[in-house]
Amino acid sequence: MLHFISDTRYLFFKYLKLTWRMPMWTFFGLIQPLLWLLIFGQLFKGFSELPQFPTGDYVQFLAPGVIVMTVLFGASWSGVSLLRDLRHGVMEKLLVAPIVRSSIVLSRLLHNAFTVLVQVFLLILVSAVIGAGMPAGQGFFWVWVVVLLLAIGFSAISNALAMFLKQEEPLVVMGNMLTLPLLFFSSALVPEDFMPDWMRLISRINPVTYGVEAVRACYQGVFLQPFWMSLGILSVFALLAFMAAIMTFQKAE
Amino acid sequence: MIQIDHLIKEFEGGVRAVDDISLHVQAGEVFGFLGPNGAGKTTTIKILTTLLRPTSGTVTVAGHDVKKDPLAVRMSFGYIGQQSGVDPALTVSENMLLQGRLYHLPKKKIEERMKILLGLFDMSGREGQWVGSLSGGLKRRLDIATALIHEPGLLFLDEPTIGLDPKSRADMWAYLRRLNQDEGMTLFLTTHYLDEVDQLAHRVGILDSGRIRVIGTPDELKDSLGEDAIHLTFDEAVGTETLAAFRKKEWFKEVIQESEALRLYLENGRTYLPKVMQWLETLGLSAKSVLLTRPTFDDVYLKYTGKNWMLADESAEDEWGSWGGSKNNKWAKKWQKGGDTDAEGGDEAWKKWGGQARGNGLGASKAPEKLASNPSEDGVEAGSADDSGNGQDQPWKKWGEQAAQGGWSEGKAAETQPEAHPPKEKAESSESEDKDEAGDAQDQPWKKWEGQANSDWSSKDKSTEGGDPPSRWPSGESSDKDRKE
Repeated sequence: MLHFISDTRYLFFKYLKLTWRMPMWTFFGLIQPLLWLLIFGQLFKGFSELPQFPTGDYVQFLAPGVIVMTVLFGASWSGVSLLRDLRHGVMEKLLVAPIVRSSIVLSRLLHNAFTVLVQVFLLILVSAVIGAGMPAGQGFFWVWVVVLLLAIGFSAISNALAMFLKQEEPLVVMGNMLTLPLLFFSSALVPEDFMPDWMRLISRINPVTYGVEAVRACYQGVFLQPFWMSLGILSVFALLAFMAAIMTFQKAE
Repeated sequence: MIQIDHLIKEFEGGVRAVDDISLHVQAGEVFGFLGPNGAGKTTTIKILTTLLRPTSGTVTVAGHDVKKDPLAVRMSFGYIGQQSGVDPALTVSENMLLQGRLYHLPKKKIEERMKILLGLFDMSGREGQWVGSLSGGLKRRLDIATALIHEPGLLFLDEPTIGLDPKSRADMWAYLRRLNQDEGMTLFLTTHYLDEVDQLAHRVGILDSGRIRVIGTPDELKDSLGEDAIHLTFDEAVGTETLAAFRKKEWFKEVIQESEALRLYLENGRTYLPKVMQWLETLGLSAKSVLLTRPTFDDVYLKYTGKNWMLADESAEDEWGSWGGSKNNKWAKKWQKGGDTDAEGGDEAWKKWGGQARGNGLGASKAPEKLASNPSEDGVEAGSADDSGNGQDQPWKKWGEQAAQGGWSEGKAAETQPEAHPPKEKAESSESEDKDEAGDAQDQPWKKWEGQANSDWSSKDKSTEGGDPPSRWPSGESSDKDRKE
């Protein structure tokens, strides 16, 4: 167990060092969510004037959605760096070292979650400037928990896909193919009440929905039963995805 | 150090990559696994390094079972994979530090080892350099240094010199030899370069389609064929009766037919060559080309697998693969054509061979005029000349190099010209060089146990490989038997 913690820590710092040396990528990852926030936010400004719309301003509604989108986009790239390690033989060398597979996986997920947290932090600042407000009260703590769980879940899926597909092109295609529908079939851009029934059904089994709702609760500072349920569902999702990723690593054994 | 008993690895879909391998490697030994791509070398090494699980059989590495105690096994060896394995985005020292940490060494110990290892591999002063900026050879050296950070007694190398230039390969061999001789490290390497096992390994296992065909010392394997080889090429394959006559002839230790070509293995080929030529006439045969050489691993490989090395190796499966002269290839056909219409054609063909043995490559010597006039074949010629320029990875090139290094090839290549008598000095000097090598070898500790031919493990190995010791395979009969297996 002691080795598990120290191995995970050394690997985590290694990946962090790699990111630190190319910080630009972390910022590039922010460009797309910012565009959504600024352009989409402006484009659908009038949306909030509809009678059933939950918040007064569309940007206030959109910001939590874009935060989750950042996590989704950031995490879906995680597998690409795994393929880089595989190609250079770095992964093979890790696999023959006397460390358990789960510490390799966990260090990767934590590293990815960390970079996503940095991105989200910057995004919260920017959206506050354009009038989306800030997480309120306890929300300032819980929003990080929610982002962490989402990031671990989705980067675990990306890593598992990478280990399964073994090639970059299909991985990127799969990533793009999955992220946008996940976003549209959630309440990230549009309130659930506006969706047709069949769409709402899909959005109920979509972890992105729970992520968006939890972040929204953090912004509103309202921590009632739906929030805790979302948090629970996200925890289960992250755990399952983590286990799936470890399984693909062990299968490669 | 390594004990493999009846190892079988079956992949999904029932493909048997490794089919009942048994093998014991002693501490301090350099064992080479030789075989073409797809023979099962990498699968075996992946099982030994716990990257793959065996389907059945027992595998023990440094006293630990790979199935029951993979973590202990991983602690006991260093591993050099086919790809580099060091992270190009980190510096040399960062790579080594991380590796040491993952083997749970304290920082002080890692720094101590790093100093020693970088010194050993002539990389002192490069600690702060980016790995991405290192040359291929240096990267490979760093690879090995990194793999040795936890002082393992055993090192696995999966095709360690693949993709390296000739100089870096020779350097790598020197480092590996030093590791074995000075540090007493056990090396287990796979390769598809014939010269690599010849240079490095104490014992060689030839692997083909997941089975070990033979195990022995490089010399034993080569000696099983006699000291010389005569390659004859005819216009068409000789009939079975003629072949039987060759096999019966007491001169030859081994006769292998390969479509139009015959390979005869014998002692003292120089004195027998004229007799063989005369005897050919009495049989009513006229050879299109004659080549007298020393048997190489190419011949050994052919003997034990019944396959031409060049053809078996997919990386050489272009027109060069035809080199040995099989039916469906351009070169063989060209030579055949040349021989049919032009008496000089045969000579030209072997001159090319000679050129190749000297490492010049085929492109360097002139093609027969007849062929050069054919535009389509011209294209082929030009293409292959290019290949000879940059084809570092092509086995024949290495072979040529090795031949040049060995010192015998030039002498022998000259001898192959039937009308020219062998230059005596050259032949003698090559012999004395061979002796020197043997002398060196006696200083090595492994030579001692290798000499104990009757000790348990060596005889056991050989018997499990389904045959007698190589020296007892003199005749064609046993080679028939081998091939049936």
